[in-house]
Amino acid sequence: MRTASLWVPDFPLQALRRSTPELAEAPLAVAAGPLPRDLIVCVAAEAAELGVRAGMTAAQARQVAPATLVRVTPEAAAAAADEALADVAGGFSPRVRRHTPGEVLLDAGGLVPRFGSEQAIAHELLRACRRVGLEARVGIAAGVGVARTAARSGELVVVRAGEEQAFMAPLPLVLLKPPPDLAAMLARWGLATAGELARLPRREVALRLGPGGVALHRLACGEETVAFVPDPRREVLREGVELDFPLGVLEPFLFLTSGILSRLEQRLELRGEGFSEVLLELHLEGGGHRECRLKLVAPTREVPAVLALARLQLEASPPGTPVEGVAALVTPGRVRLAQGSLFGPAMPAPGKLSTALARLAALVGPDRVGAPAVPDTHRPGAWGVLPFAPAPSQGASPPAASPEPQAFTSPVLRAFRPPRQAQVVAVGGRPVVARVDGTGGMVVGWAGPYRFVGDWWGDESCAREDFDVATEDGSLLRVYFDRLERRWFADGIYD
Amino acid sequence: MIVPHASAPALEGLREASERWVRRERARPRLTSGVAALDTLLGGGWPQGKVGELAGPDSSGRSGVAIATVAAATVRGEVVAWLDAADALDPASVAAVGVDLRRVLWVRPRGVEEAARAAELVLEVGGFTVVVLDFGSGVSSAQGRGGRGRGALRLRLARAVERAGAVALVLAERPWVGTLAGVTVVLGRGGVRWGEGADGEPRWLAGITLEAHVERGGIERGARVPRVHAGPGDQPHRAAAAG
Repeated sequence: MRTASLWVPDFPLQALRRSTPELAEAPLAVAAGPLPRDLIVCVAAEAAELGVRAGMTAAQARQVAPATLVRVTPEAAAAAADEALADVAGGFSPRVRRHTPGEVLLDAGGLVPRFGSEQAIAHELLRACRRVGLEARVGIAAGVGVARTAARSGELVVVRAGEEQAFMAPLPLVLLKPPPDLAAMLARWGLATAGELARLPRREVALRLGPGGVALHRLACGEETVAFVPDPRREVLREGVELDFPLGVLEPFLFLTSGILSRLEQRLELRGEGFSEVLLELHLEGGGHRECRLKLVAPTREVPAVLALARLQLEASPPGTPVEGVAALVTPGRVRLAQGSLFGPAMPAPGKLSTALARLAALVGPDRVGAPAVPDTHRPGAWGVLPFAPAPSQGASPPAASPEPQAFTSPVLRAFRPPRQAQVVAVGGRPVVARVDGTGGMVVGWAGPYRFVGDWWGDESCAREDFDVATEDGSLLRVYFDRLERRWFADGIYD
Repeated sequence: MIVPHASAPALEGLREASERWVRRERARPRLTSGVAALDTLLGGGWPQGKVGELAGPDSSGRSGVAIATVAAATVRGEVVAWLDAADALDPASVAAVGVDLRRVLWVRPRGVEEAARAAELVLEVGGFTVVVLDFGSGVSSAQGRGGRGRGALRLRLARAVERAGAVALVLAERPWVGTLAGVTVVLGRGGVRWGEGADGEPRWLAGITLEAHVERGGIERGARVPRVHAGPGDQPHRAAAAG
């Protein structure tokens, strides 16, 4: 099976720089831990010029070059970079496997018709990695082991089918990543390249080195060593950052969050999806924790719209304590795509509509945007809001379906929310005077009562008698007598 | 006053430009209001790319005309937006008129400024043929009418509508858009029509009689609708709720 390996060299360093872009030019050395005796695992070129090397302790690095910044890659940053790499692979193939931190495998079979050649696939993979802030290497070959080795042997290496053994032969054994004891044994035998190992009889290798030796021999021969098992698709994307200094002001916090959301937006674009829901996890000073859930009316990739929602929510209920770190967990949603009808009326472009809905939600509140709905109840005045997602029109409706232009089928009620208390004088069960907030007067016409009794099985039981009344000043009111409260209310005014 | 001789060609040019403008406006595509008599007065309906105003008190049929326009648009398969600054839309009664609710984007802004901004956002998307801004009766106060920034709001709205080629309808107690409106229809309380039972007693509210005149736009300034019935309905729409 044709397999592509995406490998990020110096992954802890790249993950740290990706989450903290201001360290891009700094002489940086990444340590395994926060203590002075912890070893340096990755060194940036700027720090290497100062004499710092991987394998030194953090204290030694600082001694050699005091200008060196020694940092530890936060787990969240490493995880986010790893997920970003998986998203890149997921943009090319649905069969993706996260092999080790900073290394992802994908099934490259069947991609050639789309990209033209395996070289082109590799180029596109590298370009996509750069878009998410990672400098990777790509190896494409038959089998996981050869593809991984190819990725480590150069920036872009494609091993053609049938040439695996010839490709592996000149490579140094260290690229095959043998376990330390095995590597020591092979060194004592005087073997330096994969080709030298491949020339040994496999039976003899098995007798002396065991199963580990056989696996290494198979790899040296360019044979499949590990079965490719794709990971299940992840449903939540995560990006985060830990701060050196706590933030207590909203604007810098939003600036920080916009960077996180931009990185997520790039990943979502690779998946062809958008923000459907964003959960902002705020790590507060003193160990506190706060969550801020942002629900988008429709999936969008518009970062300013999501930021506007975050601003609204945080302004309404600020955390009250400075923030030491923030993580954004995104539930992706498919950005709506629809083919418009050639003969039907123009429809809003789905992408633009999603963005506009998100902006409208940020402007007026997410619960105040949608399509009106009539709930399945007989209770008067019941209403609801559904997500606005109009289906594309299939064409112009036949004229017979058009409403009669001469008339409405019913008067339109302008609702009072909540119902207003009304002053109604009733004689013999008929309203003779009706007033609401200075409107109304003597009743000159009426219809009703329309009686309703319901929901007695729940907490919101209802028993009312509704009347439509016309008053002397020309107002048309809907009033009702609440039999439970023994009072009159107005539901609205007809217009 | 002495008119310089050189100004005569200028005046002639002005007259020709004016005639061209009138021809262009008359050729402008129209969208039916859903009320035949009103369409006649408007020269075929609401002009596309213009702001239309429906001004009048409650119970004058102002909302009914707007809903009729929306119903006609949704039946054609178009999508519309209802920016409900008055928070007064009743989905049940709107659905009873024949509006396809799935094609209505309902936004409930808190005030005129938010509504105008929301209208701009909706119009930027494109594809909405009708955008209704319902200011209700609460715009009589200076703050409610948009305060000091009202002029800028009106101008931005008019430009956004022109760009989108849509019809924007502003519902208010008194004209709000002013000179920037393409059409201003002022409604009065024309009366009510009751549905009667076999015994001649009123049984349900069947419709509102429109009393409207066109203040701006239309085929003839000041033309009046001769008491158009905004009804009748065949059935009381709340029959299901009774009992």
